[in-house]
Amino acid sequence: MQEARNNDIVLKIENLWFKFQGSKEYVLKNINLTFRRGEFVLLIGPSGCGKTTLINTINGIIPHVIQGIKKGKVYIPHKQNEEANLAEVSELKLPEISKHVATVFQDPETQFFTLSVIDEIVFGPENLKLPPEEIERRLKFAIKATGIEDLLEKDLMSLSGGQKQRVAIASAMAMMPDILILDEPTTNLDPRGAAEVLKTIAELRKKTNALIILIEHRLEEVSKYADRVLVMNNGEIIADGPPREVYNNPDLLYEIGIRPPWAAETIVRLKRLGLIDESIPTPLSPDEAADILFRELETKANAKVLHEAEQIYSREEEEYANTHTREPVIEIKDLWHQYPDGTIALKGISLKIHKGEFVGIIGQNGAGKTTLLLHILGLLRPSHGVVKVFGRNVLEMSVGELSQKIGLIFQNPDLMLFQNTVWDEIAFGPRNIGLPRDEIVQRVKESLEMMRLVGFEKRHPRALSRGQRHRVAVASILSMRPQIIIADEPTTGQDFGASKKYLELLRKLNEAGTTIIVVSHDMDLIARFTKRVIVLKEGRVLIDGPTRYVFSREDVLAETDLAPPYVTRIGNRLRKFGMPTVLTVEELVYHLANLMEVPLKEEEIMEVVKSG
Amino acid sequence: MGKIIEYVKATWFGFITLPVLLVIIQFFVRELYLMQYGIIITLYKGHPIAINYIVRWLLLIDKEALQGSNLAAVIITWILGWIFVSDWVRDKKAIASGIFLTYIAYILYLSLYHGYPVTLYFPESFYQLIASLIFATVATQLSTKRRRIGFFERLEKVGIKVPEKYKVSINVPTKCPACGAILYSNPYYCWKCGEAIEDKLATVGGS
Repeated sequence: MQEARNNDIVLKIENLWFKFQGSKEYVLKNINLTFRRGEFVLLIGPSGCGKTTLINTINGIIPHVIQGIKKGKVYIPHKQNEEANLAEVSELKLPEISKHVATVFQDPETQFFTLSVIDEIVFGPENLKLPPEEIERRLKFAIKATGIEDLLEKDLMSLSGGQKQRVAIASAMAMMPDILILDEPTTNLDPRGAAEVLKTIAELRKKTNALIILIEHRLEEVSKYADRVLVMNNGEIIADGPPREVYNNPDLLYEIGIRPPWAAETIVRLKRLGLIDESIPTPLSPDEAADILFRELETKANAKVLHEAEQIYSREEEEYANTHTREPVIEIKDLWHQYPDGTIALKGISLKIHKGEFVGIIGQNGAGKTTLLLHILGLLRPSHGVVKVFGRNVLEMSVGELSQKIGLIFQNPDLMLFQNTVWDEIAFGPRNIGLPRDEIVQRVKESLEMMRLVGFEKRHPRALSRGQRHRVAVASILSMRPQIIIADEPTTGQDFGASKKYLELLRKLNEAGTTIIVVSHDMDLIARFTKRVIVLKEGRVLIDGPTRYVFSREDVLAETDLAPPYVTRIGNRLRKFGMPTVLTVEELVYHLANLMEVPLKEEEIMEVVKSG
Repeated sequence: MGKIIEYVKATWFGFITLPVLLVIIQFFVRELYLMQYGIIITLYKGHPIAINYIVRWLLLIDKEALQGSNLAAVIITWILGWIFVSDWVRDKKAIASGIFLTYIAYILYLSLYHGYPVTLYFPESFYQLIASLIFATVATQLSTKRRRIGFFERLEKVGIKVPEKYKVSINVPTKCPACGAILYSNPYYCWKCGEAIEDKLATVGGS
């Protein structure tokens, strides 16, 4: 364990309160924490709970850059007369703090200053006016700690998102900090980039003795490295302990809108149902959970589930076939697209999407997802092939016509909000296409009601919470009454609770007959909500079919470095026992209960699995 | 705006191309005559090359242009010129109108720069105008029947070889050749049986 290496305290937070200038409420409320050298701490909590504010009090951004009312103390290492001591952050200047605390942010480009990888890594040490030999030593240390030898000769701008983030981490490590803070370093990355960064974090765990504080939503991947998990909500630390202990209470996490790791949750639920012995430790990785379940089932499994699995598959196949008897709303034939720089983004895609489908489009960055969407929206002209919406070539349709048929919801709802009131925001589209006043009023009222925004009409959209802003953005699309809604990365930057609510909203619209297309890297939400998944790889369709079938093909998905949700992977490991492909933890627990000869009704399971 | 550009392109292309083409053709015609009959036919009779001479030949104002092979050269020039124009300009109306507009442009050129009386046609060239309009119409029709350079050929010209199976048009929905599952796209793998079907789909070309 890391703490065995060194038990020095490197960070101490005492009675910390903080509120922003002009704000009434405290964002941080009486935080008391102590951290030791070599600890790997995972800080989790819903969006807006105060995680970033807390780390900003450690790296000195508060109070040196962002001012507010701060009470309490934050102590970090500080060398005085060659003696290592702790000093209060507000008493140190930023350059002094930066020698001890390094931060890596979500978007690596915001912290780059140079054009080449090596220049970027040595930029910090050079600014500390260190002698060349020391800079050389730090460069070697940073490269070794992060394993980026393969990137050294490259230009920063030619790197992928994951590679850029690895360089940002190396630059932070070159400062040889006592405290390294990683603030959601994988949020903006595709699965391949995220995997690269997580590998680098795993390397760091082995090769540095610094305190590492990681804010991350991908709990499955990082929990196994963590010595300690801090759970924050509403400015307070509500849980602090080893990961196995914290994840033993998944309800607490669900209550605050955090999805616990599937592995831990599944085992805890099974323990509560009395299907697994209480003494079995909570697993931290899907492999660990699958091993536990495999051992349990080897003694208990019967053949009952196999029959049930067949029923599930045939029911879903039937549903899939029924959806496709409806009229096609999008028809794409032999679609190729070559960008002016010569990149061929789409290579002969043909597909049909029918009325009322809920489709998920997944793939790595560069697979052609966005190019495909831009063609459906008529914003790109095919190099070869045709795109038809409701039977008409999109190139022959005006922007006004298309906007009445297709609504696009951006990744960031703020990009869609530019009016001064919620009412004006929602009425903007219908006004623009010249609808009569009565019609506009009716449509706005309808959209307000559907999005539960009645009473917010006169509020400024920007003054609302993120969830509410998302609802306003969707309402502004609904007022155009589109028959197709496209949501581009709808869950980026949101916690599980907010993402789930948003997708539930889309599901309701889908049930009312709207065709929904979601482009996302979030496999959990794709699995939970969509009925059809189209996987793109290098401009072609890799596989396309009902969600359950597509996620059952782990080998095919692996061809493009994608993987099904962890819960599905756990289930797939248990196929030997007749376990069907599961898409949610509820399904997994339900089938496991049946397999273990404790046939529970779905309602009984739901009582235990509150997460629904 | 796009249409206006097509008209401008047709006129401009005609105005520039035809004189160049006439000089080239006349050179070949002369060579042919040399070979067959040993008679030397010259375009400018020792005059230095001047644009107005060429334009006068094109409009058949110069009497020499109406003689034997010279007339043939002028006719071939107009025909070939408009086949080239029709390859570059896609709008049929612009191509046909371009002939008339080029004719007007030449007349303006001769009137403004060389003092020819301003008139819409010269009696000698009236028949040429009619003939060229007929030729242009034929050229336009020929052009529509000509195969346009496709996307794949363009790619191959720059050294990108597209696999034959990618060029096959698949009609969706289609069926998995292995298990018969209905596919609503042209994927590498079948969602139901997991078979790699891309090559087989390309063979059948969809249903």
